[in-house]
Amino acid sequence: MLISLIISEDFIYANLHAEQTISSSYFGADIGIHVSELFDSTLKRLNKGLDSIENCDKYILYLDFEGIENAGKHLFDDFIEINKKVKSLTFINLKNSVLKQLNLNDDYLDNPNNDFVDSIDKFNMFYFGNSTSSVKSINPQVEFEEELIEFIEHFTDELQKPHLHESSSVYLTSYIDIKKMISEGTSFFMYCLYQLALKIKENWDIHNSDKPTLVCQNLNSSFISSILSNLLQLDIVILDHVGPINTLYSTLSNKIEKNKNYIIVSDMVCLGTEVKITKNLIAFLGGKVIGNVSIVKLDTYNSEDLNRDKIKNISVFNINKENNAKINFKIKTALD
Amino acid sequence: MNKAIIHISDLHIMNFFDVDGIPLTKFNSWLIVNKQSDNDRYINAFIDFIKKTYPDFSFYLVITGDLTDSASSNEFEELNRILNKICNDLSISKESVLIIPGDHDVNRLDAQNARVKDSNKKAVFDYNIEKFKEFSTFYNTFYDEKKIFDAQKAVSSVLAIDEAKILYVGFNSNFHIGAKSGKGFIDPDTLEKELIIINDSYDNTYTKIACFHHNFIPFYKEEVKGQWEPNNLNDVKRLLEIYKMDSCYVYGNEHTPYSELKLGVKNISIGSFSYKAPPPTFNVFKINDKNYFLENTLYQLSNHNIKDLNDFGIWDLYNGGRGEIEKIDLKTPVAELPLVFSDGLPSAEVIKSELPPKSEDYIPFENDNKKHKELLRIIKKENLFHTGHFHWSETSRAHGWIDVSKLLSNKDNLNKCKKYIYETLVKSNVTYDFVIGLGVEGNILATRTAILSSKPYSFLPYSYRYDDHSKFEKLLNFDNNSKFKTILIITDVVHDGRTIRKLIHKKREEDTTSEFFVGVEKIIVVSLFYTGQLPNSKDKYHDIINKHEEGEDFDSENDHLENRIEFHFVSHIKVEECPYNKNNYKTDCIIVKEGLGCIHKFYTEK
Repeated sequence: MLISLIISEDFIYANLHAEQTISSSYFGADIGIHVSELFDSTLKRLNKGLDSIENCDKYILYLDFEGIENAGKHLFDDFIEINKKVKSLTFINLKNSVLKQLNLNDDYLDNPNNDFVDSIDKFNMFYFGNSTSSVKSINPQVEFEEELIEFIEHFTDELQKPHLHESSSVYLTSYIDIKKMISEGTSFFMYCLYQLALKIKENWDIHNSDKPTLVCQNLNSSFISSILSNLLQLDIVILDHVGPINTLYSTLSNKIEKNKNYIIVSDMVCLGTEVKITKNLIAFLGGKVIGNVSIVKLDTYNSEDLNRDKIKNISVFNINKENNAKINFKIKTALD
Repeated sequence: MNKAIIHISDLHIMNFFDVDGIPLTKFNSWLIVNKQSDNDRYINAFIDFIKKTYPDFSFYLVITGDLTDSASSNEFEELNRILNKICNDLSISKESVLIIPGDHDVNRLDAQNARVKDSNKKAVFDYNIEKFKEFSTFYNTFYDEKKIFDAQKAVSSVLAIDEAKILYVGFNSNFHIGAKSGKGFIDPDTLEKELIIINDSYDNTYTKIACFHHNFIPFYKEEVKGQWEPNNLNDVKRLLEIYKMDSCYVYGNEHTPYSELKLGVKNISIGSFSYKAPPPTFNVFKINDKNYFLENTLYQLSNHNIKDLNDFGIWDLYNGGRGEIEKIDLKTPVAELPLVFSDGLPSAEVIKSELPPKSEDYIPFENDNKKHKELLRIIKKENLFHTGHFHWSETSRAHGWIDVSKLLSNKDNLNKCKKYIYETLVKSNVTYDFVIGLGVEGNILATRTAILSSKPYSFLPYSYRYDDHSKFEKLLNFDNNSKFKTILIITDVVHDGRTIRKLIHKKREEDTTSEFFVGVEKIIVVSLFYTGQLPNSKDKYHDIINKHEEGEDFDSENDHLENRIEFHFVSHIKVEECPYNKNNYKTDCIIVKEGLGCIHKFYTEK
């Protein structure tokens, strides 16, 4: 499974750290997103995955080294093999120190089109092979966001009549089917979870003794939490379950530890009712909710009120007034 | 010949004069005592519509109360004339008609007079015979004295459609209707005695549909409570559940057609047949005896602004979207099941009668296997096994349970368990085409296998907790069409496998999982723990949770025959279960009855 492939009109993008994270979570040492070294097994998976792309040799392949701090031995041969399958191969966000560890031959080092930034000792773009002609530069974040909105649109069903939200007293014009994303778009969904894991790592201290526990509270959230636990090496707690239909059976007092930090994991946050229920439950039992993470979150506040939320909310995709019309996602009530 | 049940309710045939004998100027019903020709026009339009819509059909007729507006003798006389006309014109025999009374069929004046005359005063509503005198006269006349109305009985009458094994049971819910309007009430002791007799006469091969005039749940959204006395409602529902009459409830009274699935029970409200507002409606339930369901179609009287149309309009399909019950599932006759499978799974050519071959490298569970020992160590160290007396649903009960949820909360344990599941499959060299994570814990455990196998993956809630989930959570999101021949199901704990068999076979609203398993040749089930009895021979471990034949204790409502499962489990911890079954645990299990010890909240009760 390659999770980070974005196939555009004329290029293919792959994120090596995301792929190495999968390798490190499921095929090797259980260190998940904390991995910083690129191994040949990941490149071999990438090489094999390219075989399933039709007319692969028509595409420029961009390999993103962001997050890669070290390169394992004997990677050169793998890059040679990969290069044979595509029109041209370009590395982006490649640290000079990593380039040195790749032990490339001189023929691969001096392409005049290489874009090296001295101040950070890093190549924005590095052409694999001196004879390779220049290619356009791409912004991985922009490419991801474009792919993401298409992904969201694909799994959004426009409803014939507004659908009554299960836990909030509002109607929705569309339903974003996260479960279908997991089932039918597993690879890209995993890439979304990788992106979410990066944001969690960036926003909270997940190394010290106060590291947070992930809280899952429904079926979709249990899949997400299970993967995030692997990627981030965090404990989970199962509150079965708070949403969409709120029915709790198990005793919670033995699950929530006093003064421990918790991050609520949601699939989609609409008006935040389920998050608030979960937060209050945890707070009542003495735990401390430090944040909420989700795949999709609705920004229903105006920008000046965004700080009203008492906990930090992180999501892969935010639906806001700039993009909600595009996927025809609206909230309605019976009021005028 | 095709068959259908016409269900009408709340005719409210009313007098032309008010109680002072003054002609009324406004009529709420289309059916008026002194307007026979107008009534005939109305009824003829209905009869013509039925004949045109259902040619070559034979019919049954069910009426759920409020046949008249004030229970006067002349209203009942006109009712008798109208019902005879419907039966004659649609060739419905009187044996094929079920009638129950509503609160408007109680003659309030007769009840009050009876109390005045009685030296041993009791509540007005307790004069059952007197208050139903007019109704009884009509009823007995209509049925030519072949059926006699007994006002003291909870069950007014039954309508058995033997060919399709359907039993309509009509209840009289007017025991507390007296001088004033009141709510539904049935004396529980009377009800229980009569339910026992019904079950003796009609065994569990019949699909029993319970008909009431008063609703259990409010369909008018403005109403907070239902139309039943709350304490009595709990008693009545409990008895219906015990005596297996709790798959479908049909009501009259509210004049609003509506239907919804509530806690696994289908609730259908039949609108008024001839009250003017809201517009009249009726339902037809077409019997599909090949696929074992009743198809529910709702019709409404509407005025399409057509010139020269009858003043009441024309009958047409209802297009208002009032509810979710499109069909009522019928029980599948055991004798007609293909091979040994249940729930009407089709065609011998799709499903093979012989057992699917066991995986060649199947490794049976061993007590000294390292994974089992490690799980036992963790459970012991973290105190995750709980003893006590637990009932989770009417069929799920035990004297111990493993807190898997807590076990999986530690990242290292979780990772270990995910690996154990995957390695168990790999070591037995199991192959499969599709992966399902079952329940929250099953979904958590399955992620590693789903990713490493690169097979299509989906997840479902436990079948006994379907009501706790939204419709999108219950969708598998894949059609099978024989594409996936071997399915892998991953779950946390298996006891006797009934949950798995139910998942594979149970047909429900919003749940197409059973269709997915049609044509599947083999079902691999792997669980972290098995808590049931181990067979003597290891050669039978793979076959533990198949059900090859119906034994004495076979519960045809909650269990299913199945022989395609190959079972794997990582650890075995035998757990004893409460010896009482679903029919007697509430009455005979002292722990449940008296609320002693540790009773877990029931999944199936709210």
